[in-house]
Amino acid sequence: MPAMAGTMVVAVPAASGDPSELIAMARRLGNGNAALVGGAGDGAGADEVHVVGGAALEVPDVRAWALALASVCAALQPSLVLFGDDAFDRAVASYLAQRIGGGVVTGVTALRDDGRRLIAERAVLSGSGVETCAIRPGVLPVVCMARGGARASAVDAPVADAPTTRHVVDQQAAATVVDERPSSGPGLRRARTVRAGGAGVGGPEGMAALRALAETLGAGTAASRGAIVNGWATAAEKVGLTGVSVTPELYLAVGISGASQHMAGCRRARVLVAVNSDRGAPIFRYARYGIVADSRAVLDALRARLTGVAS
Amino acid sequence: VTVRIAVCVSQVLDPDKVAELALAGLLRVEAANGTPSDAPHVARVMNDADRQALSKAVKTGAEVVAVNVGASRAGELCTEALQMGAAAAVHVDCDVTRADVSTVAHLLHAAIARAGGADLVLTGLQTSGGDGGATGAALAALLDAPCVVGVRDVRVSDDATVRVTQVHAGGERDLDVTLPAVLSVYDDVWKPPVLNPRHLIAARDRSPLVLRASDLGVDDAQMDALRVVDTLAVEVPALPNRCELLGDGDAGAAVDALLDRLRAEAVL
Repeated sequence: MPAMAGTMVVAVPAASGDPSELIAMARRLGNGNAALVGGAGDGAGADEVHVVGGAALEVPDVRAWALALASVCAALQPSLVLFGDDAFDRAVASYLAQRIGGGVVTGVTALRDDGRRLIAERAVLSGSGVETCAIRPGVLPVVCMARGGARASAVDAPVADAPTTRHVVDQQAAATVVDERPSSGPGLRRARTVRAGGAGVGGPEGMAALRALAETLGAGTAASRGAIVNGWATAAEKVGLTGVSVTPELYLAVGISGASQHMAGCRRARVLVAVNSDRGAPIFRYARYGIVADSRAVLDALRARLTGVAS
Repeated sequence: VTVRIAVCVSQVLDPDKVAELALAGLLRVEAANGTPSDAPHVARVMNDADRQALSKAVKTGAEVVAVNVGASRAGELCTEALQMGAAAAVHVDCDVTRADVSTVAHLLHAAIARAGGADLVLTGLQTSGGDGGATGAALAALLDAPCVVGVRDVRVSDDATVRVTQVHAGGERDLDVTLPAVLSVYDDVWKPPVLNPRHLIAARDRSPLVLRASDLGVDDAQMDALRVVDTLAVEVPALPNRCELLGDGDAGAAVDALLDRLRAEAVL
């Protein structure tokens, strides 16, 4: 497979997970330098690091980040720009592509070079379909990789003393943060284990039992739309097409029916376990292991076994 | 306050019906353009996030114009938008199977200009069809406007500023955003409001402005030239369907069996 020549940029405008997966992916696709461009200085295996900063980048304005990245890209002349796949990453990638004449593809689960152009696979039809698409030759590919899409690549050892260049963005901020309300809990994206609750957890006490179990294990807590609509979980915890995509080792879905929009965000977990009182729930079609039982009884039994304490 | 809001609305196949067909193993796709082959039997609806954006725009009290780029039948969305309270609606009738995100953004940009411009543009965060959440930002780039994604609430503060509530992975925040700007909207707990009779009556006297892409200076050759990403195939992968059910209804026995399996898989 002919590799792409020239620098490959891995762009991390937001703290959206570990860029080392993306850097390894970039290296696999090309034979040039892998350059990390973002707001932090951790090289994560890159050959060169570009740290961009400035007041306009302190607020979550897509344009400010896209213009900053466009200016670094103008200097580096990359053959590929890779992003993570958060809503913010996607928007910055799309804005950037439009500014620099690139072609953007988001939600990418697989990426390959057919020797002439870059071929990407991504979810369509509410997560039920997979589209294979090609970025036209001569167009700079700007690609948002879903977590786990890059996971198959082995992560390289960090490059010692990768040269770091600092860029200061001289832009007026177009937005001001007037109130910040962070949600608690371990970062969902990096969690090795995720416990997720849906409408079937039965109420706030069911969700609380799930959180308690997650806390016991240092796992991340996630939710499907059903739990959020009922006010038992926050939108920041949502896994799915319109939320976060996760690829943990273990995803325990409790009281989640398995709508394709939710499954799009978790179906690439290594082991997916479903607990639901409805044997006909679609989630069992995706799961590796299933328990058809009342979710609360299962949560209590799990907690008792794992902590050695009956609740 | 005289802020003018353009809201981009798109038509998608009813996502619940698509999911139902996929689960039943009945979803087949025309490889040529990625459309489900039994699409005639699947209702087309306004994309949920776009409906939220339109509803929230109307609620601000600003003048709202709805803009759609889509096939002829998507023109019905414009009528619906007027009934929801838009003061005007523009439908750009074109073959969207020949368009990618960039093409659609260019057409939306031209259509908004034709409609008299806007101080604020709202889009849904993404379409259920698969725009991948990229259209709003591409449009923002063409407008050279700031862009905020994941907006749950928007209030017009004055002629130059809106206050928005943004949901992000770390929680949520309130932001003051300087106009002009593009916001992409999504709200998990939103419920469609009952249509306002005043809007329904006003909509009777309004009709959408229908344009062809060529009316906006984009002919067939330009449609093709604007496109940078081509669809090669769309497939519906079979679901794994290899679930091992544990415990036979007994929660304790099921959990014991599960923990054994998870230890064997080395995920505990």
